Amino acid sequence: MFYSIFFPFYHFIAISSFYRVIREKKKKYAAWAFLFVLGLGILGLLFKDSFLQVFIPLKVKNIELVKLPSNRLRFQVNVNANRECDAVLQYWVKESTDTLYSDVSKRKNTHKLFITMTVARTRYKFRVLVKNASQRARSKVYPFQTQPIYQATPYFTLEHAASTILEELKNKYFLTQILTEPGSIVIIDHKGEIVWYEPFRKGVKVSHWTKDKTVLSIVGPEKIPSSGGDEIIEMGLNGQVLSHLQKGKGDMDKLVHHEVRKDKYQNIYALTFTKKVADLTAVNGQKQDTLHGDGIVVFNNKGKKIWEWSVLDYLDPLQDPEILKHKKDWVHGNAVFRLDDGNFLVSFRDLNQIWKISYKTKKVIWKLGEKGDFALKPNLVFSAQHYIHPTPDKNLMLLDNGEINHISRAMIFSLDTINHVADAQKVVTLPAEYYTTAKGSAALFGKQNDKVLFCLTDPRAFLITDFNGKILWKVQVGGDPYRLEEVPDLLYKNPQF
Amino acid sequence: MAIKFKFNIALLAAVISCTVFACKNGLEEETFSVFDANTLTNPENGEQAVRGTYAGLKDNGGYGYYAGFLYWLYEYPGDVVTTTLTARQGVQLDQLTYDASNASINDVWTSIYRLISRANESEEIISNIDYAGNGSTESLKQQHLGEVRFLRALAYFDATSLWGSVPLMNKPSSQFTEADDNPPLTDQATVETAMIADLEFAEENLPASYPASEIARATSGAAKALLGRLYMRRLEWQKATDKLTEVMDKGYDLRTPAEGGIVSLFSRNNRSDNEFIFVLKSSNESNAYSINSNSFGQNSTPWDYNRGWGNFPLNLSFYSVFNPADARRDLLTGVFTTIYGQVMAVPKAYGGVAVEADKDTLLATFVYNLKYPHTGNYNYSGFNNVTIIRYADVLLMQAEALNELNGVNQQSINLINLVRNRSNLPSYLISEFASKDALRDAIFEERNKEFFMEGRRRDDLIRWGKSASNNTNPLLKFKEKVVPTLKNPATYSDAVNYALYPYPQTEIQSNTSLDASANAGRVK
Repeated sequence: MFYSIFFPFYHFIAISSFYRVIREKKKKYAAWAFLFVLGLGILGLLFKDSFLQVFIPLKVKNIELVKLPSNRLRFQVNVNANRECDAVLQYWVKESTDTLYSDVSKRKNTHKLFITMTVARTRYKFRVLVKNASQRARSKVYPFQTQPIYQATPYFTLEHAASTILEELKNKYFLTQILTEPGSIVIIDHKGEIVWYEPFRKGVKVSHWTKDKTVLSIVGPEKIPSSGGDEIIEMGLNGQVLSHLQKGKGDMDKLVHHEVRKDKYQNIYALTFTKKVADLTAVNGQKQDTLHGDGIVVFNNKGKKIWEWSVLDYLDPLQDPEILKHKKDWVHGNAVFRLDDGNFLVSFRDLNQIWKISYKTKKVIWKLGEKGDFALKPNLVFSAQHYIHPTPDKNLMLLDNGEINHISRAMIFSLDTINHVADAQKVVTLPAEYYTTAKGSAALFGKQNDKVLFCLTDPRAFLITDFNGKILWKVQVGGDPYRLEEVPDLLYKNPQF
Repeated sequence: MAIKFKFNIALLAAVISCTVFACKNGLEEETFSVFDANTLTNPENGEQAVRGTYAGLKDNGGYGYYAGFLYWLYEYPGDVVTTTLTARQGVQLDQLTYDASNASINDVWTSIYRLISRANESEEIISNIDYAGNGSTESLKQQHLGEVRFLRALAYFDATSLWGSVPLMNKPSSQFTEADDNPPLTDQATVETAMIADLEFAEENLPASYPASEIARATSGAAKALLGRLYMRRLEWQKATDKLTEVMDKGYDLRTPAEGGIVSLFSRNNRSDNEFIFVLKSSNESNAYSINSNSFGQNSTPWDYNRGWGNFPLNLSFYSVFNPADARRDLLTGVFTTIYGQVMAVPKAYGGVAVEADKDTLLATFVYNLKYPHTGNYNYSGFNNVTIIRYADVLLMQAEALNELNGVNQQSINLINLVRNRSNLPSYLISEFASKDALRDAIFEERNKEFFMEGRRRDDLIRWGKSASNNTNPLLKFKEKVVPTLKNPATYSDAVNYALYPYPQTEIQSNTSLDASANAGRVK
């Protein structure tokens, strides 16, 4: 860098001086010329930045827009600047004022940036912004156009959005998945437009948005039942795979299913399938019969298994009169959540129960639900439930699929763990046509947390309702969705270049 | 001289320095370039487009299109398959109380157009790739075009069977004009002309067979058979028999009793049988072409049988139409031991073995089909073929076409007997049929026993009605057979043409070329 700037001066001085020296053979001149050059060099070093600013301002040299067929909504942009700098992309839909930014690339000459969160079939414009400690610059504005990602019949169709909720829906994004093959992680906006996706040859069984702005997913072939998969993949918005656990490699020795999340220590945890050999002769089974159940596994951020638990250690098969019927998929765990206190909540569909499990002792702390440890009014008994998680005010929320009476509802429980009473803070009951036999999710939504975001698999619908169950927003889905999660911080903020 | 020389040196040095300086930085322009790998040039991309189009046959899996809902529309309204009370959309179809907002009707509509759209896009992609210039062959290119055009014709076959006139959209999205956002209905005959062109191209350009790893791709035999089926639907008997004769020349055969017969045809281990002409492949064999799953395995059998969901109960009276010797009856749950250890059996009155219920015996109220065997696991994992065209169908279509052309004839009898003998039934004699009408009825009864739960019943009832009424009353047989199976026979309305489903409400609302009047006469 230094030489490129001062090369012309050296060049000038050196060429003229040495010609003189050679021509006139005057050693005195040679010495003076040498000193002069040295002096310039020292000055140049001392006032490098000032020289740079005056003579060669920071600027963007080359921009290359890369379109790859693997993803039609994500574009790599290679940027070359004339000096080390930070760079970011600024882009917007043509004739719109809503500006989007890429992630910032720091302290490089050559940057690899990504345009994400675009919608299909749309004209955009973009430019590159660069800055260093004292200067900033921007490139010219260039156009680009997104291609269609599917044709003719959309997969997600906005059917209804009440005017009362429009303001609140602005800049809201939702994460879901296509669980059949080929599968995909998908993020949609509030109009049902896909703004981000990542395709997989296998199905994407479940996905979860982390606080690190990444997507965690269980990926697996369709033939693995129970939303199970043989890979856990954590991916950034730029498509980079950050963690990749595969069954049979490293510490991942079991298939995972239904749920994968990250705890506050950056560990990845998931539900697993576990097995145990038991004597079932008392109920006409085999002397050495195999029970299949569920477990929890925790991997640290290096993929090392640091904790494991199996439900089969805490259930007596002979207590289940129909164990021979159930032994292939006993209890059917379908959700797990690690609480701030380090302990786990697990949902068992076939028990109609939520369990709290101690991380320290691995013991079951309590069971909530049918025949559980808490007194529960009959109308609050849930069945085939999914998506147990805590609300911001530490109550417990779940989707009651409602196998008992074929009515699905969102339920928020407050627990009195001293008197062993569970009461419902809120029950949001859906109309009968939204009953889903399996899968699904329900979570609070809105600035005031006064609405519920539903994913309902059988009716293939995403809903937002108020607490009375009034439908404020509905997106119809073209396949069977597993889950829908709000993505609270999808967009990169203006980095103020 | 010396001074002048020195000045020259200085000038030269300055010029050189400035030139270098300028080249290095001063006059440099910002450059912008685009690298676009989306322009597909590789024959491999053509292959991917073809596979993507096949995937449209099950739409997004689960219950999509041929993996489920299509056969709801073909089977539920008929007289054999009924439904459980919990499946509201299915009950509407079964009891003829559906309207334009029925979700299953909408589902099939969107699946069909999704497949058509994929075929259109693939056709463009393949057309634009230079196969021969990129290490492949022109004949593979024509095969790929043939495959997507076959699939497009199949989708239109279903569309026209279900709705009659439908929008004809045979161009890729890159050629869409504004008007294409709201495509109008195209007369059924025009749609069929386009289908015939696609199928004639396909039969010319598709291979007769594929390597074992790519089984279930469309063959020229499949194109001919579908063309034959289309001519049958159009009552063009001569064209049908010509085309079906060509299929019969393609080396297909019936699975023989020695190989396990009709029951083993549907075994999970027999998905590549020579009797299958075209199927939705659902396979977990390694290297099998794609891995698909369908919803029939999970839904066909009842809970008591193997924890199935029992969504396709068959009326008990259907069991009684079979001769006890008929091997096809073994594809019904006549008698079985429930997962709880009791025996479930069809009552004697319906041809079964149960005399009366006792503590170990339950009287069946329905029978269920065993054409989609599964092992009782969750997640719609049906690893069976969903039959779309099989050789027995070709034989019986040929028998029917010849009867319509020539009246009672020995060749038709021979063809029917091939199918009957394979299932342990005695041959018919030509003397048993006094008239073309009598033989026609026998053929349709045979088709019913052969193809139950294979998606054929609705088309068969309508074609039977057309033939029997000289094409004046397509619903003649439909009404005769279906009304007795309705919970309330008064549901049936002569003002409704049950041969045409209503266009989905969502399509009418979003397509400005349609309005509610399009469904006049299609719903009550």
